[in-house]
Amino acid sequence: MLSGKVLLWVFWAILVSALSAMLGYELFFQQQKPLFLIGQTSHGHHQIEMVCDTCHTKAFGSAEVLQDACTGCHAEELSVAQDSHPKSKFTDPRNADRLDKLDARFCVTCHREHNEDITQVMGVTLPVDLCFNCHEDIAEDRVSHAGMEFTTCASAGCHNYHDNRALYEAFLVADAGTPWLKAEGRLFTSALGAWMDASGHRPHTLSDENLPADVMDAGFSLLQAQWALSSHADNNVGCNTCHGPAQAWVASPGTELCASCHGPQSATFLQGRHGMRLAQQLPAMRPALSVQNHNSLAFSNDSLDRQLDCNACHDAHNTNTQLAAVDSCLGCHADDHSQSFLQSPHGQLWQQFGNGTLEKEQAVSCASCHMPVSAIGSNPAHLLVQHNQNDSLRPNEKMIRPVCMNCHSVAFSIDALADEQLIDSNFTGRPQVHIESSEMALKRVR
Amino acid sequence: MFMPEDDIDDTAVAPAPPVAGHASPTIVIVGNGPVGVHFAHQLLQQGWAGHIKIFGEEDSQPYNRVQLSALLNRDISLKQIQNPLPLHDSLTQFLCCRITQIAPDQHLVTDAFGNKHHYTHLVLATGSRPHIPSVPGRDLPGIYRFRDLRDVEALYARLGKTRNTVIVGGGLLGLETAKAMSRFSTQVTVIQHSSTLMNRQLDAEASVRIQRYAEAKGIRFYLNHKLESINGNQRVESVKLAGDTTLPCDTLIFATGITPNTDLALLAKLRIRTGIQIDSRLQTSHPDIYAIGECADYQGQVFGLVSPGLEQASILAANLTGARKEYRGSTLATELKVMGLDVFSMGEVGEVYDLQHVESEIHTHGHVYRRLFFSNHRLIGAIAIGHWPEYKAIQQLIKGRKRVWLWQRRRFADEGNLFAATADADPLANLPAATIICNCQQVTLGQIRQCLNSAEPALPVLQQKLGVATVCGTCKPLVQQVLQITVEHQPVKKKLIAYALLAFFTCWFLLGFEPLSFSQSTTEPGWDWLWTNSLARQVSGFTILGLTTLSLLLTLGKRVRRITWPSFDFWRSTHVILTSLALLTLILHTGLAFGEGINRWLILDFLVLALVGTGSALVSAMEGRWVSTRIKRLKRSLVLCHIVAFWPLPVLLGFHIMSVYYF
Repeated sequence: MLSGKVLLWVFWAILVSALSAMLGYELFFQQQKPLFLIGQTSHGHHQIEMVCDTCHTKAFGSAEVLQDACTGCHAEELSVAQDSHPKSKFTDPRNADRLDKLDARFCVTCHREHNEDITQVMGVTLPVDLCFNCHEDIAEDRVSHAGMEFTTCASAGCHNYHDNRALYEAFLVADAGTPWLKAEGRLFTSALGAWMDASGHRPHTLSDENLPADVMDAGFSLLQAQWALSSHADNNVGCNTCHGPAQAWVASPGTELCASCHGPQSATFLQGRHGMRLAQQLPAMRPALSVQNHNSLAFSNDSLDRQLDCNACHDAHNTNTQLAAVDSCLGCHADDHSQSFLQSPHGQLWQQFGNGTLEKEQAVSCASCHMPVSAIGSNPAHLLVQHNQNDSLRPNEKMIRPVCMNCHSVAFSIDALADEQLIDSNFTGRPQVHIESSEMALKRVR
Repeated sequence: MFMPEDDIDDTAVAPAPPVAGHASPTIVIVGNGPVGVHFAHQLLQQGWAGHIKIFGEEDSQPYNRVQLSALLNRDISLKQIQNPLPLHDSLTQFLCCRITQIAPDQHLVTDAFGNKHHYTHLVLATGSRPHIPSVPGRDLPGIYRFRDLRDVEALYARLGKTRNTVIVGGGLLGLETAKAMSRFSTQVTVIQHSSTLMNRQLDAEASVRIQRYAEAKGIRFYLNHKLESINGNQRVESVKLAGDTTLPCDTLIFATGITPNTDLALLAKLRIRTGIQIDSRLQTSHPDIYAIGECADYQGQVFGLVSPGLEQASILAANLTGARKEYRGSTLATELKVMGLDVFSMGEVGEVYDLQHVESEIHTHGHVYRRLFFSNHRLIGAIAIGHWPEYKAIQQLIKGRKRVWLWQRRRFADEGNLFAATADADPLANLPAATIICNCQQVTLGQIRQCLNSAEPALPVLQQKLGVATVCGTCKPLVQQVLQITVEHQPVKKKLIAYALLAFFTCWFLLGFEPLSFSQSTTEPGWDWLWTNSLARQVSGFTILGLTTLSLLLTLGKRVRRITWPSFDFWRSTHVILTSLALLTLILHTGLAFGEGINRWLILDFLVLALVGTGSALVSAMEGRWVSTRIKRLKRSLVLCHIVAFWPLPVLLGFHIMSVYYF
């Protein structure tokens, strides 16, 4: 028989074993480890924060393991952006003294995750005047910079740590004097058909339709009518192409099925905020998951539980990209910027296009800026819609080259993108902020 | 002999008529045994405004009947059993003065000398006499009873001559007498008609143990035997038991129970059952006549022990001086040394209850035998042979019919104790204030402590003020123990308070403040590197681990008995200081941000642990000042909570450290 003291020890042993088993099981055998989530991740990562091994690819790894995880997803865009502070700059022995101030070899030096309290714009977790570490004497090189606060380097719309394509001196000088609105401004349009042909995904003939009896219900004839008018029908994509044969009928084909023909679109979709959860084999993103985040955008209440897969924006039976370019966006997004769109100058153009009074190349949709048509892949002629909405967004100066400059001057674009109120009103009016980078570039060159 | 003549004359010649508003109300007490005397004491203490007359038929000063067997055994002297009444203006004692008649209608009593005494309240404390069964030959010389001082004198005289003493009756008195008589190579034999000894208080097993113990001392027992006849020519020569056993016998003592003295009440036409019938106000069938002690019969029960009588006396005295108390029967508790063996019996135990269905739990270990009786998981009775330090606490549980938990029963079965042993070995210190220390006078631990606060802490003072250890004397060691504990008022441990407050304010700081702000500027670096830099965090983290582990040495100091230096106080202070340092380091480690998931659990657990610890440290520091069982109990609960709060800490800390390196 056990005495009280022994019983206490037994209780303790049971508690310790149970707690250890619970924590150990989650840590070592579960993909999602909510108990070990020590703090909310930045807005870029919170969608996938439960899948620890997305970033923590190896248990008990070193800083290099984390670094590999960062570059695993972000290396390509940094390379495209011609990263101003690549790792190679700091592994150069001549810069060894700089490493003491800021170990820029590792992303996590500036972007420490799970530190919600100190996370600032762009997921930076260091004071915003971090440039001071190396550029303390900048006023000696650039007299124009004398007296400027180091807190304004990145916040005033001038510089970025990684992507400075829009602020490159020669580039600013070259564009100087351009009127704010180009008379002949035109946007690119997608060359989907050409790409389909080149990639060999377009079926040559429409196969014989073979449908199970139970799908031929009341709504079927409407669907069939919509489909008959769609580009899928034009391009010989029939019911069985997506739903499979009658014997193995798939009622709701998923993103993988779309990807079988629309590879680049799907790939870029999975890179962006809309598809990054699907990319990690997590259930699709829902606006509701974003609302839990403290820095969430606003969403309409009835959209909160909408699943963000291809069908969220595109209707396969009614492949109207005009719907996908604006209406689908506004179905969920309810922030000031989105809600101001239709009344904005851009929105007016879009509505003129809708009325048939304007060419498509001159109309501006949500997608024009956030999912711009651009060269994806190796062939620059293959202009396709970039489905990663983040590609041209953070920082928003990234948008200048591929999007804004089609119609506007660089100087105007910089001012407009630096004016937060103007962004909220979706560019209704003129910028109230002026960034002097063009003038400064010109002054220095002359 | 204190017999003021003029007083007798006064009352005899001119008995005052029972007029309402009589200047001096008089209480007449019939009987100056322990109960009567206690009643008079209580009346005086409560400030009874009238006169008191107390009548005793014996020719000696009042004495303590309970200790007669000790006197016979020469454990105490004659002087020590005296139970004198104080000299008091309003108290008149009549010794050797039997009351022969009551006239209830006239409020008069008549004494053996023919004097009449007026009373406003009459209290019958006539006690009882030995019950002598009708056995042939019971009038022969050599047959004794054991009731009063005369009997002791007679038996004392007999001690030197007797060779074969037979005691009829195996109850409490029988065994005490047997022990007292078994000297000078006298063969003492106890005859008991029932199958168990002390069948009102013990069960079969306890009876067997006492029998064995007594047999080892040379006493013979005949259980389940009935006395058939007493034989002899001039005097007792032998006794014959049912079943043809004949025992040689030169001295026969009857200890076969009591018969309440109801003759007087019978003459006064009071209602009688076994004893004089009383109600919950201790009133007989006549409104101004009361009965207390062994002559009283409450709901068919006559108590043969002294403590219920004393309880009745106290209640009646209180009621007659203005209080409104009710008597609801007594829970019988017996704690005594039977022939030098500790015997404890309380509540619903013994033969009478054997047939009723009760659960019981038994613990035996060597000479120790303990049995608890439960009804519906509540403790209703207990028997113990051998010393049991817990018995006062047990008595308290039985009195309150308290629930006993399953693990307590398990512990009892294993260890013989219902309560866990505590660091302070003194069981008294942890008892509630309502615990009755003196069963005879019904004095509680709280009363003793209260008395000690206002009076000089000495046994005689307590005896005089509260009457503890004056009746049966069993509680004397306990009272002395209480004296020892309570006298030691220890100083407040100020340093410990300071350390505990340091820990408390650090916890408060950790819990009450927003996370510390981070440096907003590279040009003006702040202190945030302490809780953001990986190396700094590892240093602070392992510092906390080290400090916490060191502070666990307290447990060693507490549990390893060999470690007696430095003192426990030193260990405790060190523990609190180290924990305070760990908490301060925790501020640097976290920057007051608790994080989420197990990090949050860990820090919250640590803070709960520290806060509970702070509480128990404060209580420990103050317990020297606030001597009370409630404080003791509070401290014990806090320490237990402290230990329980520690339970998850090693696992959480382990996983916290592992997760830092895992991710």
